Amino acid sequence: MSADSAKTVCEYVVKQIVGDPDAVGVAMSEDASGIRLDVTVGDGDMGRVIGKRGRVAMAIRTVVRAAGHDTDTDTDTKIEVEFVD
Amino acid sequence: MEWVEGVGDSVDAAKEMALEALGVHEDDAEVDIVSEAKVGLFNRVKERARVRARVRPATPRTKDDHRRRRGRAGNGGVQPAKAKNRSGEVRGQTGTKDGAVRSDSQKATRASETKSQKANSARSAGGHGNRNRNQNGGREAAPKSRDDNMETMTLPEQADIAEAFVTGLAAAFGESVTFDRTEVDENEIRIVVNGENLGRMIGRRGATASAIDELVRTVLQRQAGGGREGRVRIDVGGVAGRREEALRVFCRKVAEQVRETGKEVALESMRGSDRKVVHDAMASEEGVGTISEGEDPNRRVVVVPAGNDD
Repeated sequence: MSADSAKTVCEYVVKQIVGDPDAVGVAMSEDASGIRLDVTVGDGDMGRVIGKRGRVAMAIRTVVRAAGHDTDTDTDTKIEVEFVD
Repeated sequence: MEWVEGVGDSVDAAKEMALEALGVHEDDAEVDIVSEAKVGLFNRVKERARVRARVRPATPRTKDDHRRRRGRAGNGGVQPAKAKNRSGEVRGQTGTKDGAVRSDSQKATRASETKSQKANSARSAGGHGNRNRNQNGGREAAPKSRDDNMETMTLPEQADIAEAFVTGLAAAFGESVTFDRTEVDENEIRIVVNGENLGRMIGRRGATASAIDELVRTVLQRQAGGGREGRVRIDVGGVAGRREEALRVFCRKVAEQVRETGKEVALESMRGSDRKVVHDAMASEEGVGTISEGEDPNRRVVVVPAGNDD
């Protein structure tokens, strides 16, 4: 549930930032250590999602992890967000 | 890739803003100085510096790029071409007429030429340098035509985009939100986001809330483009506002201490937005001034007794 929420948020945010939303892909994989989201974007959009000194990427990770937080049990699932070139 | 514009109290600050908006390093950007800051009495900034920047075109335009531009035809579609013309004008005025793609060294030379030329004109015109420059039709032409031709997205329009983004974001979180919009001044709109279960969207010490504000800034840069002016701030749960108020209270205490002891006080390092709050708060205090020292992320404000701040 919380993992889905994280993926939804990740997809939404990245699509809002890039120049080519149709080229955005978010692949979720899950293992014992947590969740991993692999984000792919269109040509030339990588700079936008990473930002100067990685600021935008950090903001995306923060927001995505917040979305993955389970308020009922107050647990944080480990979520990795990777921007794949 | 579109041009973005940065404004700031100095050319460097304006450049910093533009580069930040582009999300690239200076080496990967092409930066034009549109106008330098004009400084009035007591070093108060009368007119902020403006620069325009774009990501240095490394490869020929992609198909994708063409498609996007056509999609905007009718409003912003002609913007890039205009931008080139305008930068051409600016370049012409500053004496260098090299092509659109320049090397780093050329760029640096041009920038310094601009500075020295302006300095020269100010010197030759004596104390009225600034005023004379205002009356110089050639120099003023560029900024004016920009304001007329380039679509400047108004702050309320930007605020609409920001609210739309946050509404969608909240929906992705499974929450619904309402907004409370305040026009702080003509350059800033602050939007407090309210809702029932905002805990996750605020985060520990407001970390998520400030991440959302950062994302809003990025989205605005993307969607409002180069004509963007002013600042729309999103404050989820009102935490940033409360934090700022606490910082202002702290500033009053520090100001009092500096006035009483006559000794400067170096504050701990803060991020830029917090430093701005400090500068603004100290500006309204009697008998104190502020200077910034160090480099981000360790840049900090030093509060000094009045008269020592230059």
